[in-house]
This record gives sequence, structure tokens and C-alpha cells, in this order.
Amino acid sequence: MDTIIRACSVYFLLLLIFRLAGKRTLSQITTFDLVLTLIISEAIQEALVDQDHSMTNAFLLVVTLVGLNVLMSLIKQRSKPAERLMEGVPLVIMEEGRLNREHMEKERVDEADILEAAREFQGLERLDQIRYAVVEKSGKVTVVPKQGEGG
Amino acid sequence: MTEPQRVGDLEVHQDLEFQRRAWVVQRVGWAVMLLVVLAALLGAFGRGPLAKAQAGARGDPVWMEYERFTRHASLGTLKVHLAAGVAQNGKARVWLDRKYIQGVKIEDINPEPESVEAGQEGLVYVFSLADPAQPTTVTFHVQYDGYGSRRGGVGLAGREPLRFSQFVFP
Repeated sequence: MDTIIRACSVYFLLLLIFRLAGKRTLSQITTFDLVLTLIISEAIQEALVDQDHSMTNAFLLVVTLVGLNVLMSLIKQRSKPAERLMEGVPLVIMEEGRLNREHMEKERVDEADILEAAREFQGLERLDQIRYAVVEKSGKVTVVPKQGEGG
Repeated sequence: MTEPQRVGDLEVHQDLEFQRRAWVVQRVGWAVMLLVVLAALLGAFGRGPLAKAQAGARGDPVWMEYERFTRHASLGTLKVHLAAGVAQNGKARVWLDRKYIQGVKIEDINPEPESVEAGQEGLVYVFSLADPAQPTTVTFHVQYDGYGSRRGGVGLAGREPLRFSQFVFP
């Protein structure tokens, strides 16, 4: 029970501290993502290592994890269904300038995210300059501008 | 290899059927995660109200408080309560099952036993009592090792021990 309470406390404390530190501290990554990555790596560490600090243990862990990564990538390459299962599929959220609100809600993506992607990748200013918007497998939003727009 | 689908002029590997199923699975997964957190808060994975257990009843010559759920490498306590008058010659002889002891690391015993006698099936911890006419408590601080269900016995040497079982999560 205290595990959950500790996890919640650390999460919210870190969130608060990084938010207070302001945007410039983080540039490439949002506060949410940073806090999550930080805490997860710390939480997992002790469970993986389990009080065995030998070089042997460390190398065995690395070899196993890298090996699993290789195995997964081989499986993904050989089997389309497996790749779909592990990575997901892209999702069109804007078609010919029309927003698909159901898809956006289910993927928890909003217009602000589309506009941000439009600015970042295409230098676009408004939604009406966008022809297609897709939520890629990675979660990133990509944008295809209308003819004659963007650059 | 499936062909890229077309959505208007866009060639994209969208798969709405799969996507819808994925969303359902995701929501179910969230519900499961919520249940796990709630169960953990209640102590189903150790360290909470659900995990607290008792072997024997309060009036018995010996009764014990322990954790029925715990985790690997977690610290725990076995509180053995001794009623008044169980001592022989001013000493209380507490028996602990050997097989159980092998699965835990006894970090600390409070109070320190005067001596420990090794028997065939268990160890007998001999405690000297300040006042044999008063009830007292002996606490074993343990660290759990490994995982799985554990059965143990604790009691007064020479008498039927209290049986208890625990589950140690990995």
C-alpha cells in the first residue's frame, strides 16, 4: 500500500518541481514524459539488479535485454500481425481539412497538438492550411499541407 | 505484407478494425491497472490491511501476528505473543519450524534470546522473562527471500505449534 502512495508522491512532487522550473529547463521533452522516464528507470533498477552488483550480473542483464530487443525486431520483421500488435498502426485524424473528432478523442490528441506539428514540420499557421493529419505509431502527429501551402 | 491503404490521396497503413479492437483492449487494460492499484492500496500485495493476519486467538497461550501477503526482499515481522504463565523455570521456549526459517533471513529478534537450541525439525529460541506471570511479546524481524507460498509453524516447545501460511510475491 505504501508503494502506491510513495509512487504517487514522488510523481507529483517531481511534476511540481519541473513545472516550477519552467519550460527552458526541459526543451526537447514535456514535463510529463520526463517525470515518467525518470521514475520508471529508478523503480525498475533495484528489481532488475536485486542486490547483485557484480559485473557478471550487469552484463547478463544487458545481453538479455539487448537480445530481447533483437528478437522482437526479428519477429516484427517476419510477421505483420506481430508488428501491428507490438507497435500499433497510424491513424488519420484529419482528412481533406475535416477533423475526425472521434479518432482524436480516442487517441487523446487535440487541435493544439495538430497545430504544433503543423508549425514544427511544415511552418504552417492555421488549421485550414492542413490537408491531412495522422497520428503515427510513435504517437507523433504528422501533417500534410494543402497544395501550395507550407514550406 | 499488406498493401498500404488509401485514405483519400494518402497512402497510409491505417487499420481501423485493428485500431478499434486496440482501443477496447487499452480501456480494459486501464481498468485492470486501476484494480491492481486499488488491490495494492488494500494490501493484497503486502503492506496493507488485507495482508495483516493472525494465527491463534488472543486468549491462547501463544498467538501470532504476521503478514499473509508479502514480497521478495521485503522486511516483515512475526510478533509472537506469549500469555502469562507459559514459562518454564522463568524461561519461555519458542519453537520455530526449520523449513520456514530456511526461506527467510532473520534480521533481528526482539528481545534477544538467551540461547537457541537446534532441534531436528525446528529451532527453539529460549528467552528469559523478567516476570513470568505477565504476558509478553517476542518479535522476529525477517527479510523474505524468493517467492511462492510458505508454510510455517511457531509455538511453545513441546506443544502443538500454530500453523500459518504466507504468500511471497516475486
